[in-house]
Amino acid sequence: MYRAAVILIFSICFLPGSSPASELDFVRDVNPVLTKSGCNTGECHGAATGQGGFRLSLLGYDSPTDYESLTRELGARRVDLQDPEKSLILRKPTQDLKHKGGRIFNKRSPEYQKLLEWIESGAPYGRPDLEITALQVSPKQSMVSSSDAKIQLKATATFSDGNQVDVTRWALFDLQDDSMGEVDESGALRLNRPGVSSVMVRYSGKVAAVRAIYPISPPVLSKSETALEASNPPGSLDQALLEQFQLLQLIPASNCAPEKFLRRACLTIAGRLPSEEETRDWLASPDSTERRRTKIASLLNEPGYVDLWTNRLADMLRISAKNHGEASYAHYHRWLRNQIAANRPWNETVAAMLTASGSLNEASPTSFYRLTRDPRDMGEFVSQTLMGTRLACARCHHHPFDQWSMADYYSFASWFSQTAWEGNSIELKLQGEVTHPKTGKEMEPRFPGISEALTIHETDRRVSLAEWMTERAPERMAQTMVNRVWSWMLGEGLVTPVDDLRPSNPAAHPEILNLLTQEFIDSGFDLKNLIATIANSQVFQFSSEKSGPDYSGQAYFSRFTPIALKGATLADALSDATGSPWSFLDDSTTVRVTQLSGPSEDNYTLEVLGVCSREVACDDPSELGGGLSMALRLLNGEDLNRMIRNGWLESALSDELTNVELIEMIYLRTLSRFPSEMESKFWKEEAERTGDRKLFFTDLLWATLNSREFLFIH
Amino acid sequence: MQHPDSNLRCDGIRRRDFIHVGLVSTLGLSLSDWFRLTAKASPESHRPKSCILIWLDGGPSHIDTFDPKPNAPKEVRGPFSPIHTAADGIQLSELMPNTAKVMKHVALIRSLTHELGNHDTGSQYLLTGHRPTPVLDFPSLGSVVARESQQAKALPPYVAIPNAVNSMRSGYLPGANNPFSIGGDPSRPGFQVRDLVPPEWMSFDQVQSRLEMRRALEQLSDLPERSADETALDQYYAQAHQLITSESARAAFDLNQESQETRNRYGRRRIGSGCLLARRLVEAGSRFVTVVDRGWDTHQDVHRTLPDAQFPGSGKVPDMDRAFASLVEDLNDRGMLESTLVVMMGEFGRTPKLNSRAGRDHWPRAGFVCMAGAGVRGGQVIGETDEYGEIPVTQPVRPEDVAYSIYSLLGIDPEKEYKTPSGRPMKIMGDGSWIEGLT
Repeated sequence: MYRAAVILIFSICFLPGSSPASELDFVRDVNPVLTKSGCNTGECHGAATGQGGFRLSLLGYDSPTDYESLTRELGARRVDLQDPEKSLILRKPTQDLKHKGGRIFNKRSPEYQKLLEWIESGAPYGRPDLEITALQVSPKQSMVSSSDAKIQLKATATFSDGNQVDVTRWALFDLQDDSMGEVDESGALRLNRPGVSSVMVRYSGKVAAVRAIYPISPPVLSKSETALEASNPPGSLDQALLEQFQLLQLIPASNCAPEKFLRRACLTIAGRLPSEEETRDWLASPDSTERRRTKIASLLNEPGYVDLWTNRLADMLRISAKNHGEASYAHYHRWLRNQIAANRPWNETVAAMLTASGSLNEASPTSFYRLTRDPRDMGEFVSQTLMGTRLACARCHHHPFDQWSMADYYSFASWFSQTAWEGNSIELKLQGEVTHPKTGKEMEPRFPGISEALTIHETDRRVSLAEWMTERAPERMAQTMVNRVWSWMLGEGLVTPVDDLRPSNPAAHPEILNLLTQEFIDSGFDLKNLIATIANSQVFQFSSEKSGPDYSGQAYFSRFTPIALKGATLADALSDATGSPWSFLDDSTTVRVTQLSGPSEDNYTLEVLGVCSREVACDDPSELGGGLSMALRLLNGEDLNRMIRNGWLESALSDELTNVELIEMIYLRTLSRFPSEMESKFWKEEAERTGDRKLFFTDLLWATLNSREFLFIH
Repeated sequence: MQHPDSNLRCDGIRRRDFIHVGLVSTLGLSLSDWFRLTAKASPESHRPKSCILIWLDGGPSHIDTFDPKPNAPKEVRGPFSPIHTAADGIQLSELMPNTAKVMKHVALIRSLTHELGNHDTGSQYLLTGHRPTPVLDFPSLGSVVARESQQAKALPPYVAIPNAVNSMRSGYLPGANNPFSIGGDPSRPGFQVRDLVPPEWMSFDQVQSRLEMRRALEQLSDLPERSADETALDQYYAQAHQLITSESARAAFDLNQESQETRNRYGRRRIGSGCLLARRLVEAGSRFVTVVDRGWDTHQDVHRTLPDAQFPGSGKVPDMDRAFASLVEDLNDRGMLESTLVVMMGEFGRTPKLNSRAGRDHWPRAGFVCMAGAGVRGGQVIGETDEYGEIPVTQPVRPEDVAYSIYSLLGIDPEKEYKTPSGRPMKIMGDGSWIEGLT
């Protein structure tokens, strides 16, 4: 271990931007120079095996080890206290000596001077316990309105001694969308075209991000055209959205037609198509905000709501026979379904899973722990799935885009080290710790991002974890759920991927995410309330029509982007529209695909429809099913053709219905609307021309089920 | 609808030409001469270039196959001896006698190197040519080729046999540039591409009329402008239509139209049948066919997992050797090698030193890529690794360079610029450069 620090200086006061103090700290003053110069990136000395025999920690997160490598290895030639200018860390990057990485800086550069100054002063480590505790960047949001404008960003680091230091010169700045402009090394931001991006700022293992906006040309905003013009209560979701759209100069879309609303709400809330009667009734009486509110409330009380949302959460938790055991997965699924049916507060549901133990063979969340025996894998699963925090990188090295260290990783895994799956039950042990592979130290359980020592429950440490995750610091868990619900309803999360919330991956509308998170917490983690809030907002009720310019197709939720109907919802919608259940659902109690406890093995049709196999998280629907294989399956495969043959059409054909009436029924049962006059006339003539009535209507029903209007929620 | 090629037989010979084959053979010309002669004369010789990628999934050991190290200590050298090949000075592992015979067509890159030692990121790196980043999903090689091919042929431009792996997706390009997975093992006797043929009760006319009705529905409705996903949906139905109604497309998937001799030559197991099918698809107009061969992640017992130690087909290398060599030879015999690039690679090489279980672990710092056809100069080695096969010592080749060169060989400008869905301009290959000496 290093013992270079001779003098501890307890209180030097730094004013932001003040000149360097006489004593240098390796953590604060030296390692950031190496990071800024790119010495410790993954391609250079930060690689797991180093480069040219010289290894640094990735992006300088591990100062003690880096200090050791610099001053102790290689006979102290890297840092030469006798003849400072002979030090390799000065001669290599100036290419005074051959350096594979080329010339990094010259002798007059501040980098060189800083390193030289440090070596001349004896290359001290400085205060051994000095750590950076926070990194702030201002301004939080940069608005740029021309390509000449320059905005100076400022990075301020807070250290464990309480001091705040302006570290702008030594922080790393990255414009996430680098085609939009650049941030130079002094932190000056320039944007060259309209767009929305963020700047990721890194300093000594800490990461922060700020928004950079170059709005599209100001639209001619006629207030009366927007669906948001009505006075919204301050603090409401609609008001917050309006402010966001004004900021980005986006014109919100108009309100969607009543039939579009009905189809959208039925499919996204209750996982079913509107019935023919329902659509007729809905369209027969006048539309109003109040009526839509009532509809949303009634959909939330349907059994279909329970099936659909249980299915979504079961996908998320990957509930399957393969993962949770042939004998026990259905118990786990039933338990989950009960929670959704009772609308149990989400934080209680999570706490119940985290603290589960006992028999696997009863309706309980115990199987939560059957997913894996390895506490590290469990830690990754819990943090990513429930807290939107991807710790996995930090299993081997500091997270390159986030603040998580290996210590964070292994101390989180420790929560799960005393839980064991034995036979048919989950047992608690009083021993077992996770060790940090680099230091060999046994890790105390800790909550990522919280440095204070925790009081840990004596016999079940998971009780303390649940307390932290769901009560004392529930923001992350709440935010993750809000983001998931948003993406289930609107096709895309405020943050994408939905399980990767980090400063360097900011939300499309950070304020909206915060507002909904707070509301979710205040409501007592009420899922139905959250769904209703979103469904009643304009953001869910916008039309899909463009109402003005956007950011190269990105509308930031100022209109409703059509959502591809996929997976279990699509499977059930096909069954609704044909009036015929899937043939493999022979169990009389299970009539819908969303009701299945686990994925149906080896069902190729469901696979191409995009039903989640639950082997991996199915968070990105674009990766599921669809494509040419689905088109071929629906055309030539057995299932859909049989459902059309066995469904309502067969009997309707033998009833005394006119062609026009049949056309209307097909439209109402598949597209949830009446055909237009033109459509009705066209198909009537086609029907007469074709002659074979049965063939014609079978084909028309097939065609509507394969149309863009059916396969997308508009 | 009659496809212009539909009077072609599966083997590419027009029916009325068949009698000529009989004639030429009596004149003492071999069938392969005849193929070459007719290929020169027909417009087929101007065909755009295609690619067959043999993807050795899991990361093939370079030392036990294409980069033997006979002078290294035993724990590096491994259990296999080197053999000479038809190309002067090039040695391969003894497990590859067939490939040894066709090495004069093959450029062997022994200096592939990168840093991504896990399967997912390594595969993404090699299959897209871009180091994976969390900000953007890059399109796979085949997706770019599909995008650039803009053909109205019946066959999908990008096909995966039997199924695509995750990194073979369209990335930021439209979903229509995803590969079509045939979904079954072509070595199985009753193999058929799933759902290619309509059920018995449905005529082609009915298929046609259903798809026309589908289009009419679209035209009659007043839906807003299509999103990218919606455009892709329409393309899938158009592709389905072409596939189902084209006789030549269906014939292309039918391995029974090949002679027993040819089937045996390629090998009757997965990779052999896959390569033969790939050749048929390229012949019929596909532009990028990936044959996925799994099981190369040989963490233990290379002496059992690589050679046919227990029974024919028990090891990875002999099947690969037969399939690869036959493909190169067959393409050459048919005059198709000039227009077809064959690439064989995996996500990384394997550790030079055998581990305690007599296997080799992941080693991205050194690996091989084989290329043949499409103008590649065969019979040469590009780049060398050090004495233990640990790291390239000459001409290191990065995944960017591999992708850059594949695009160049296929006649696609690697510097061409696309736009991502968010409007960001993006070159097909921003990094990477041409591998010197490849042609």
